[in-house]
Amino acid sequence: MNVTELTTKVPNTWCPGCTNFMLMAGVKKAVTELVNEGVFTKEQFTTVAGIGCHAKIYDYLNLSGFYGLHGRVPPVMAGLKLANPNLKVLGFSGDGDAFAEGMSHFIHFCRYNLDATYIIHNNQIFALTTGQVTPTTEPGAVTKSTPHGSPFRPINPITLALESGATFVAREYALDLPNLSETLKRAMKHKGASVVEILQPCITFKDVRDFVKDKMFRIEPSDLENAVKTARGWNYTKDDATRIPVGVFYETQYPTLEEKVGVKVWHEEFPKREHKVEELWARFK
Amino acid sequence: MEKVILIAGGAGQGIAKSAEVLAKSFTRRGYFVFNYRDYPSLIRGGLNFNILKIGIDPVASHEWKADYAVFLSQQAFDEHKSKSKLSITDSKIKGGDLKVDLDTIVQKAGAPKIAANAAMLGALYKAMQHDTQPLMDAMADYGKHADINRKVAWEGFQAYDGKISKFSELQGKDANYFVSGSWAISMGAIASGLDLYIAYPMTPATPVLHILAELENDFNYKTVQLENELAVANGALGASFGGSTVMIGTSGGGLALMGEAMSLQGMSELPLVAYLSMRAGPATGVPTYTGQGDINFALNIGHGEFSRAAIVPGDAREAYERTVEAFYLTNKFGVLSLLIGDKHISESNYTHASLPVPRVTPERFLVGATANHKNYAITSDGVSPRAVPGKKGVLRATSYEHDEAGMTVEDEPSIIKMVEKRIRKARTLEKAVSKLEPVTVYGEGKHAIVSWGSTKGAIIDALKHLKDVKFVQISYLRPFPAKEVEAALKGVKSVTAIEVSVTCAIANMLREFTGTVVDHKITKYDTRPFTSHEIVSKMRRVIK
Ligand SMILES: Cc1ncc(C[n+]2csc(CCOP(=O)(O)OP(=O)(O)O)c2C)c(N)n1
Ligand code: SF4
Ligand SMILES: [Mg+2]
Repeated sequence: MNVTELTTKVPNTWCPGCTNFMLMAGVKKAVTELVNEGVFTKEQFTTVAGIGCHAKIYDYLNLSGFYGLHGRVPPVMAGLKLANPNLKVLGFSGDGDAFAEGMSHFIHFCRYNLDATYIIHNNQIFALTTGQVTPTTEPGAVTKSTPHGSPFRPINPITLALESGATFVAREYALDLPNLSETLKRAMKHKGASVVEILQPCITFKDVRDFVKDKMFRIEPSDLENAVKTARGWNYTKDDATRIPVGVFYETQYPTLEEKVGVKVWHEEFPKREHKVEELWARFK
Repeated sequence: MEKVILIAGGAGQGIAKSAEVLAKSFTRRGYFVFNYRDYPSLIRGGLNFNILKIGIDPVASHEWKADYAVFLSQQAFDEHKSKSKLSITDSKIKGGDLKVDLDTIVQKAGAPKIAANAAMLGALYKAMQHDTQPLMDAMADYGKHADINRKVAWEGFQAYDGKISKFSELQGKDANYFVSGSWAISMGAIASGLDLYIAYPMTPATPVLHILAELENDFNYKTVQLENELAVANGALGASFGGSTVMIGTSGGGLALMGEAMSLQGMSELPLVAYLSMRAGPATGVPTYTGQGDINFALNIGHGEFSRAAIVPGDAREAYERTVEAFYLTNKFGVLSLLIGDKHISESNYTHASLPVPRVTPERFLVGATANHKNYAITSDGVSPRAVPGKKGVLRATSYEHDEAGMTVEDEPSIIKMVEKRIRKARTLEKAVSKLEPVTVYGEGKHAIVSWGSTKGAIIDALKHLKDVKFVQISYLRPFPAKEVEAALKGVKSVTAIEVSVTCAIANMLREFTGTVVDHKITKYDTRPFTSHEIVSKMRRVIK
C-alpha cells in the first residue's frame, strides 16, 4: 500500500502549518508500514474521533471511522471492540476532549485494558473553540476564558494513564516524525490499552513549539514505579527549569477487556444462532 | 371468580419469592394471576408486599382490597390489616384473625427461619380449601431447598384451623405462562438476535440487566456494564457501527445522560434499541415506585430534528412482541427505537395463556460492503443500506452533517439533501408502523378511554364492570398513529384520557396529533399504579 491511499479528497481546513499535519503524517506512516508488513489490513483500521481540531483527522484519513461526540471517544472504541474484536481501533482526542469532557472515560479505558490505541493531540488548549483553558494548560495561563490567569492546576495524563492500568503509555512530539511514527507503530501493535499523548502545539492559540523542542529529552521504558516517577518530572508547567520526558514510559501485558468478556464478531454469529426462546418461555409455565 | 391475596413483611424475608411460588401453584393449573410487587428503596427491614389477584378468567391488575392476607411482621400487619377480610399472622404478631406459630413449626422441621413463609403458604392453601399438591409442586422452584419448604408448608397447612372459603377448582386446563415485563423484554431481545446488552444499573430497569447477564452464555451474546450512561449510550452506537445488535436500558435519570447519544443516533442512523423503565420523578424521585411522567421527555429526547419509534407495550406478552418490533424497526430503518415501560410493567407478573406471536421476523438488514459502499446513500424511501467496517471498503458513521459517504459537509445543497433523506425516512417509518397495529380497541361503547402502557391491565379489568365504554390502547406514541386513533374515536360521545402522571401527556398528544380535546382526564400521581376499582369508580363519575 502506498501512503497516498490513506488520503481523502476532502479539503483540509487545519490552519496552514498546524502541527496536526505532521501528527497525521506520523499516523499515516505507521499505518502504511503495518499494512505493508502484513500486521493489519487497511480495512481492519477503524478510527474514532472526538470533537475539536484534532478530530478533523476523521475526514482526512481514508480509513473506516466513527466521528462521535465531544469526549466520548473511549466508549465508542469500547463498543466497536465489543462488537468486533478483529478491528484495529485508533482513537483520536484532544486534551479538552479526553481530559475535560471525557475524563472519566479516559480512566476507564485504561482500566478496562481495551485493545485499542488512544492518540491524544495535546495542545494544552481548546483550539476549535478559539482558545480556552483545558485540564493540561499550565497554571496561571492567560487564555480567552482565563484573561486574568488560569486558577487551575493541570493534571498529568501520563501518570493518570499509568495509575489507571493502561498497558502501553507513551508521549511524543508532533514534529519529530521518525520517533512519532515508530512509537505509534509500537502502540498499534501492542495488545491492550495503549495511550500515546502527542504534544501538538497549536500555532494559532498557543505556540509553544520552541519551548517543547528545547525542553524535551528521550526516555526508555521502565517498570511502573519508575515510569510514574519519570512522568512526574513534568507536570505541564512552563518555566525555565522544565524538562519534558518523551518516548515510551511503560509497556506490559495483561488480558484485554474483549478477552475477559469473551466477545465474538457478533454479526457473523447471527446466522449460526439457534434461538430456543420457546424453551425459555417454558420456564414460566 | 377472583380472589385477592396480600403477602406482606420486611425486605429480606422472601416475600417476592413466596408470592411467585404461590402464583405459579395456580397458573400451572390454568388459573390467571396478576402479581403486583411493592417495595421501598432499601435492602433489609422496611415493608415489602405483594398482591396477587387470582382468577379463573384472565386478570390483568391488582386490587387494594384482599380476601386473604399473610403478615410476616408487626409493621406489615399494622399498616395493612385494614386491607384484608382475613389475616393470617405469625403468632408473635399482636393481632390477626388466625395465628400460625412459625417459630415452632420451623424449629420442628429443622428449617431455616426464611422458610417460615412456606408455613404461611400452607395455611393459606387450607383457608382456600385447596389440595396442597399444586403448592408442593410449585415449590420445586426453591431448588435444593424445595423439600424443606414443602415440609414447613405441610405443617402450616395442618396448623390452620380457621375459616375456609372455597375457591373453585379448575379441571383439565393447560398451564399458563406467568412472566414479568422485564423477563418478556429480555426474551424479546434474545429472540431478536441480541449481541450486546449494555447498561448501568438503575431501578426499575435493573431486572433486565440481571436477567440478560444471567442468560448470556446460554444464548450466545454478552451483557456489559460500562462506567456510566454516557458510556453506555455512546458505546452502544460504537458497537452498532461495528455490526452488533445492541440494546441499552435505564430509567429517567439515566436517559437524561443518554440524551446526547440519542441525538447522535438520529444523525448517525445507527440501529439502537433504548429501553426506558420509568419511575416517579423529577430527579431521583421515588425510585421503586411507578409513573408515566417521563413520557414527554422521552419522546422528545435528543437535540435536533430526527425521527424515532416510541413503543409502549401494555403487558408482558406485548412487551415481548413489541421488543421484537423495536429491534426490527431500528435494524430496518436505522431509527432510534425507544422501548418504554415503567416500574409497574417491569416488575409485575402477568399471566398469558399462549405464547406471544411477534408481527415481524427478526432481521439485521446488513448488506455486504463493496469497495465503494456509502452508508448514507440517498434513496427514495430515505433508508440507506448499511454495511459494517472490517472486511471491505471505507465505512463511516458520524455526528456531523455529512454526504453519502459520511464525510463532513457544511454547504447548503449537501445539507438539504441529507436532511430531506431523513425526512423521507420518517415517512417510511410511519407507513411501517401503521402496519404493526399501533392502536387496539377493546370492548364497545359510546364512551372511549384512551391510554397507553402499563395502565392497560387495570383498564381491561375495569371494562368488565363498565357499560358502554371501550378502551383505545395506543402502543406507538411515535410515530403517533393519528389516523388509527381518529378512526377509533369516530362518533364517540366522550373521551377520557388515563395516565399515571400529573399533566396527562396523552391528552395533549391527542390534541396535537388528532385535534381531539378530551372530555375527562383520570390521572394519578401517588406513584402507585391504578387498580381496576379506581378506574371503575372514576369512570362511572365521568360518564354518568
Ligand atoms: C458537548 C459539547 N460541548 C462543547 C462543545 C464545543 N467544543 C467543540 S471542540 C471543543 C474543545 C476541543 O478541545 P480539544 O479537545 O482540546 O481539541 P482541539 O480543538 O484543541 O484539537 C469544544 C468545547 C461540543 N462540541 N460539545
Ligand atoms: S487552531 Fe490550532 S490546532 Fe486548530 S488547526 Fe489551527 S493551529 Fe491547528
Ligand atoms: Mg486541545
